[in-house]
Amino acid sequence: MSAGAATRRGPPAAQRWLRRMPGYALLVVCSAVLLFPVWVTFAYSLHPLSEFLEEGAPSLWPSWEWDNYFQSGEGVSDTSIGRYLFNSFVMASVITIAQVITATLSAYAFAFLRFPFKNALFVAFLATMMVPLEVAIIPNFQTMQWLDTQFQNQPWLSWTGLRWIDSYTALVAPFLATGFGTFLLRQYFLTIPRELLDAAEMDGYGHLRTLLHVVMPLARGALATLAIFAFLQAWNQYLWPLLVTNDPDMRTVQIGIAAEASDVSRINVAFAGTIMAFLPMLVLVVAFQRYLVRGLFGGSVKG
Amino acid sequence: MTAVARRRPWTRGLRELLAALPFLLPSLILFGTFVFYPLVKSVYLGFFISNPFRTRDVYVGFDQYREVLTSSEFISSLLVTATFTLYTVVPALVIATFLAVIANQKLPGIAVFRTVFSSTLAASVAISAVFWLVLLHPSIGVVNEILESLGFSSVNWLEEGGWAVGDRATPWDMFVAWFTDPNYALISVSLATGWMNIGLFTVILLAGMQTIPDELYESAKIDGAGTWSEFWHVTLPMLSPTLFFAMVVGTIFAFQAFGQIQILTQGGPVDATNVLLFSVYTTAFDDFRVGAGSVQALGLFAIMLVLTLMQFRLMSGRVFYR
Repeated sequence: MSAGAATRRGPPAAQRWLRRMPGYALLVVCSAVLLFPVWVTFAYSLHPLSEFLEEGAPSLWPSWEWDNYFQSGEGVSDTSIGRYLFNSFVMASVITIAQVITATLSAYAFAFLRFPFKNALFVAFLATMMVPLEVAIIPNFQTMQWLDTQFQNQPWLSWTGLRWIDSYTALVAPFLATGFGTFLLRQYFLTIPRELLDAAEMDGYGHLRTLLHVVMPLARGALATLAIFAFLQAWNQYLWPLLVTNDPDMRTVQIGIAAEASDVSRINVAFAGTIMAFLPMLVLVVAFQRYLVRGLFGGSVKG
Repeated sequence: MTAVARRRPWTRGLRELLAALPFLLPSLILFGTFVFYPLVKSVYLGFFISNPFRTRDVYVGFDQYREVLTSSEFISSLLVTATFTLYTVVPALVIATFLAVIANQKLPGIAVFRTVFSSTLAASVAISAVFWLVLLHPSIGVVNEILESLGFSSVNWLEEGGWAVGDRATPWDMFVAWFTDPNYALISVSLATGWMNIGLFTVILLAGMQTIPDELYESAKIDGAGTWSEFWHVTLPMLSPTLFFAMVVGTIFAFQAFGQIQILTQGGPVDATNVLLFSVYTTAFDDFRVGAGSVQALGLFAIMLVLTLMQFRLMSGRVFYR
């Protein structure tokens, strides 16, 4: 339908806009109410500390004190928000890359290879989705402690210098494989025409080359869905990082802002940190919403 | 029986398995270590009573399961979790349905509002906890300020740096101590979580609405249906599987709630916000009762299992009308 046809049939443009006004007004009011908490935190993040020590709530309009965003040193820790953000970024990136690799490999096997116990193994992969990590924290924490001791005391392990508590290894270890991702990618791989794989095989492609040059380029959408999910979940993780980090230098931004917020003398920094932790995810969600929707439904809707 | 004819040489099966293993092994090792082994280990840990001095664990078999799962603490944290679920899912679902409906209008620039309405989904539990701390904080909170400006009397709240419950002059002053008043703590924590759910639910519901055929709305218009009856007789019935899906997802999130509780209330006051997972955490890592914590975790697992199975059933295409 062309715009011209609509104009000819409908009322004049000005009148049409006037009729839409209540609709827009409602949308704007709802947006403002929904985002009110974000605005208040943003305004607070730009107030000097002194505002919070006086009686009563500070102004809802920022006083543009950007120092909060760059401050480090005093208070609960000598660690800056920058360090927290860096830790979160490293953790989320490693988890995302690892999940894409492990899930692509296993999804390839389940979609294209023939081998004994295939169904049983696939069911085992699916079953992992029913065990949220929250349920397994106690034994997993013990495993990390045990590994940490082994890596410090056994000569044949200690040369690696690997730590399993207070380290990036500890932050990422339980999240490197994903049943959800394997399932998501397998579903997509199954839609790839068999002829393409046969052609690759005739060209003398091995499994790895087929995977890298035929399957993965075709599955970019599904891979993006998995990557965004993995990154968002890893970045927003709270319980596990809290358990395996004591050293403020190894804190992720989620733990960092929570620690800062508990100290009244650092509350302005906590607000700045909250905004800085929120913004990247906001951009991610806004930019890749289409992939996110697809993932929420396990890849069953076209986003 | 012609078994010989059907049987493939076992060496071929082995060769296939060996070819597939490199693809599966990374995931299998990780799942084995961090998913399957912990489950078995949890069951094992539940057989032992660990004492705080961590000297020797005493084997008690299933006694600990019986004791923990029927204890009043467990039942009460189950009830708190159920209430928390109700508070975080139902209002958010109602609000999200409203937002999805108004964001589903055909207006220029509507995509902007769809994005705004889904944006709270980007917030983590820690971030949304701070957002709501800012609103409900005893001394710098905006909500109390607003209540005060409406004429409700002020209370001494921040005494010696703590979040004290002030003396109450009028019933309205209860609003002041959002996180420390047993009557309001769970609601306050739920506000932060429900707010996050609104974005998630809006995304899910908007996706569900795209699958409702336009013809249904057209024929409703021909029948002279107004906006309201269109909603009741077309949108809502067609959306009900999606609503149910969102409800299950929200329930799963509620049972995984931890961070917002840890940041805002630490399970208190007097266990008013002590949800299951928080109880697992404090039992195992603060009280060092690893066995009892494991039993609680397994109880949580049983509930999550049922919920996840429901989610799978809904996810496998049954949610959407073709």
